[in-house]
Amino acid sequence: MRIRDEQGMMAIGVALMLIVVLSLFGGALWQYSMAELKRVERTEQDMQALFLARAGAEAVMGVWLDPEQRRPELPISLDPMYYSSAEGLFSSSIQPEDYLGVINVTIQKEDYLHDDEVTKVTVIESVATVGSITRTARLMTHPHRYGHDLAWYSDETGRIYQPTVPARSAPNELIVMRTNPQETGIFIGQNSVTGSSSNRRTIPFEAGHLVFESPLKLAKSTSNLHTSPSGNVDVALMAEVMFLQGLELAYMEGLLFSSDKNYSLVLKLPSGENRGQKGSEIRSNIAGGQVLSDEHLYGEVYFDSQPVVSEKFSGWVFLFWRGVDLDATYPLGLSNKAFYFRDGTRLDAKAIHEHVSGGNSAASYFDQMADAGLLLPILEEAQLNREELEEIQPFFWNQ
Amino acid sequence: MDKELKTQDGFTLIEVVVAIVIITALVATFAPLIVSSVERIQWAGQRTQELYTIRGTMEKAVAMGSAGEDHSFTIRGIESTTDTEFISTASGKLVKVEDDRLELVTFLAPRVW
Repeated sequence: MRIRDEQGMMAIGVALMLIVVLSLFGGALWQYSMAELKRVERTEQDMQALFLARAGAEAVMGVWLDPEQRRPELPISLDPMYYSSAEGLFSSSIQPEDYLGVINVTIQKEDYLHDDEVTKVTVIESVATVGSITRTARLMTHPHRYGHDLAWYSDETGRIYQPTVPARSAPNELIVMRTNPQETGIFIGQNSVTGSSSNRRTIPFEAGHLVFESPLKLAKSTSNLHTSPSGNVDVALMAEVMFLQGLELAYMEGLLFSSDKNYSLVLKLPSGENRGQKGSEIRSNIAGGQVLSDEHLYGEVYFDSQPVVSEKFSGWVFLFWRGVDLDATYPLGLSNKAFYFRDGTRLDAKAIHEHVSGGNSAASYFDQMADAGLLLPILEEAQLNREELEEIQPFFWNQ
Repeated sequence: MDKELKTQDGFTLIEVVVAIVIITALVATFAPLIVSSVERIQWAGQRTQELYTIRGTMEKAVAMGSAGEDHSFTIRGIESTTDTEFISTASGKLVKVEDDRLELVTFLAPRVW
């Protein structure tokens, strides 16, 4: 064989090299394209699993927050839920022949550190699986906010603020009214209200639900009342349900150039649509014979075992002039009672004082209010439980 | 110069023809693979964009909250502490976004907060 033939071999060598190059290039490209296809498929399943996980968590949250439904004892693992594309619906327990994905939900209590305090929160964990992809969605209850978080009062002194732009709670939020220490009490102090004392002034606390863990002492003390605003000042509790833990209204007669100081409480429903209950809805929850108006809306107010009183304070000038009636206190007989209040009902300290001064008992004042359909005692079996109410907390997406 | 041209080694016609045949066969073999791979990569890129558009639509529907149809279904389980069966009905909105290949589905409870 002559050496010239090797040139032909060289041509074949070039062709073989080309084979190697092309096969490497083609193989790499094929592998990359297949990886892309798989990535797209995984992305699709990931999205489907994510929204299914959300669906499971939302469904359980809806049941948990629905006051009409019983809440399960925790912890609980629910039966698997499926979504059938063919039928276009979710189902539980029975596995459809053709389903998009499966959802497993658990509900449990977990410890959560909030404001240096360990509190229990409710956690709904929903795990959805589509194909080989699993996604988890977690809903967690947010610890309750306090009134002082909304700058309604000082948590240390209990003095009520009236900020220029008051902070608002979320529409159905439960706000806890508590001072530190707890027994300090929330009161009207100097600068708690603005505007002319000749007008009735209102301090609103608006939330879906208001739960007092500290007493609401409108005047706090005689000495405080001397420096507090004159005139009529209403603290308006605007909520669908409110739990009070001790309440003191206050009235101080005016003297010479000073006008009366009348610190009263107004029970109102929060603003917005579908607030409160119609008379027709609560008829079965009150004793027969009560005056009830189908046209009016009602909320619920609960007084616990703490004293509920109206106080008539007199200053030192009164002491010399009249020499009596210093710090007169009238128990109102509302402890441990629960009422439907008609929207806008006022517990007027001055009116109660005048009623008692006329030789009547304070309790009879509330009998009159019941007769007028303003405060209607709730039958025991229809009363709400404070602990159950405190379970109603907003959820947020934790994951 | 002439001498150099005459003595210069080169490919014979047969060699060139064989090489062309081999290269043609190679290209014919690998071309569909390469073309289909490139097409798949392009498709995957487009699909990824479509997926994020669908996801955006879904997120919007979820944020709107009222875009779904009314739906309810039973949820159940066993309470571990009391061994009692728990049955309840979840009611809310079924939210669905789909194209010819993908279906995204979720469920929204009534907004109470």
